[in-house]
Amino acid sequence: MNRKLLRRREMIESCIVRGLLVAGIPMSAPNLFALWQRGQESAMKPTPVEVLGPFFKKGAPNATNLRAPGDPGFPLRVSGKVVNTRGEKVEGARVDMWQADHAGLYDVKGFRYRTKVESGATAEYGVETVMPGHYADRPAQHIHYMITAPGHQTLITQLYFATDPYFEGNPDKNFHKGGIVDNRELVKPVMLFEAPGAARASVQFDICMEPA
Amino acid sequence: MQSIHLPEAGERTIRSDVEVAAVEFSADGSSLSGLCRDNKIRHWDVRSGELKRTVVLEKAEGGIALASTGTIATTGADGAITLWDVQTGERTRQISGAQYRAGRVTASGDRNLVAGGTRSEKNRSETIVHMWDASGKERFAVPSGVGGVSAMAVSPDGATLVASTYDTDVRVWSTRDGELVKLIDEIPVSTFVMRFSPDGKYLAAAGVDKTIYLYDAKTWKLARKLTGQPEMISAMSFSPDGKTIATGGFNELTSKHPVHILLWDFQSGKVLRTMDAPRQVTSTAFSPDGKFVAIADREKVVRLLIVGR
Repeated sequence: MNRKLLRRREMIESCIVRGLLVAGIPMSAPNLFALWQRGQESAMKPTPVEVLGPFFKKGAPNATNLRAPGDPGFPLRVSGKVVNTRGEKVEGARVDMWQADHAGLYDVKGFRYRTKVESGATAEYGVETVMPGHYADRPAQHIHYMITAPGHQTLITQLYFATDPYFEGNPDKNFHKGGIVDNRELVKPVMLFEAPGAARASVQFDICMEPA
Repeated sequence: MQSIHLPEAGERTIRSDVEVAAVEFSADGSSLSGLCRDNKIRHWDVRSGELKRTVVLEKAEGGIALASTGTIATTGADGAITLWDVQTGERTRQISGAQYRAGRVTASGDRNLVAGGTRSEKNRSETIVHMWDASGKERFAVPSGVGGVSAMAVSPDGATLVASTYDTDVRVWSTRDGELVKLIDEIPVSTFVMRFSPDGKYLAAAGVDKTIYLYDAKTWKLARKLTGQPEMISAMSFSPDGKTIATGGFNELTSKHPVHILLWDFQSGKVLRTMDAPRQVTSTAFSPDGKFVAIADREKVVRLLIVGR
């Protein structure tokens, strides 16, 4: 950890970025320091690395909607923010995402369910897609990620779903089943939203990169 | 070389107790060796198909894989690489290696040069390719993209090392000093297997794209593409005379079975023969006289086909 002296303003900014503090709330120095320390502990942890897998493809289009009209897959929104281990927002990160369709099949000819979105000035990304299907070799549902950003180490990881029947209703106990998932923290809760005519799932997956 | 008689149908089926990851014929062509998932080598008699002996690799770590003809490599979590003789199961070399387990290992034909791909020290996502010389000293360690090595090969003359990574790039280095000779970035998806032609003039690369990419090993320009495999290619080998290529497929994702074994005429690129295989083909190998090809698949079956022409 970098042992440089932090100014009060930097501490406040760092806490706001991590959602620990709402801007404008007055706070005493010890309280602010405790809050900042808590943030440091969580912020220091980079997103765990996972395997790239054999189905990556370069050159995916920058598309935020991967669903086609009449898509048989269950609608899913995946979004999150991109920060680094110093707790700073990472602007201009390029987030490559690729996944199988609802039937568990990857498109290796074209770019269906493949995208490369950018985290803009807000350091956030969001993609409309479908719940990936199950397939024999890696039966847990997953979305692959490769994230690059200037001044940061390339991060390869995967997102899994706590509602996946593969985890038998207990991801805490079964996340490591079959040796597919190494880290419980990559198995994210799935929220369900009911919209007129259709339900939709939503998952938040925040990414923490390591500076180069 | 002794003559071998097979049934009229020209096919023999050998059933293994354990899945066979790689197959290789003995130098005299009389026996077939299967590198099995239980870290044992099973040797079958080619004529009778009978299991002659089972060789155990003592204290072998990790999975076993062929590093070059007649040589098996195993890798330790501490980075150590051990080479073993396919026939005797004896340790032939031990290299302390890099500090992380090598995902793939390949060796030159004389076993003097050994290459392996590991993660980088700083970043788990980044890949480093190392080469060690005959004394076990690291000759070079060069960055090789991200995502790990998917296939690797040393040219027959030992001068060139190639490695493909799961980020879809293929890199070509001089084994002398690790100078990057060429970065091939035109293959759109991952490569699973790379083989030099026996005369060293071509490199064949195949994988997710269901295509054999043939590169001129002097200019490193794409010479030809062979298409016709219905599924991804997981195994490939050249016949000893370089005239025939055997490939095997992999179609686990769509649950579409069977997959296929293809024999290709190298010159014309035409498919000479297509056969079914029940599930992913793990390995193909030609006999030294080129008359037979052995095919291993994930149903624990090794098939021996007459292919001489």
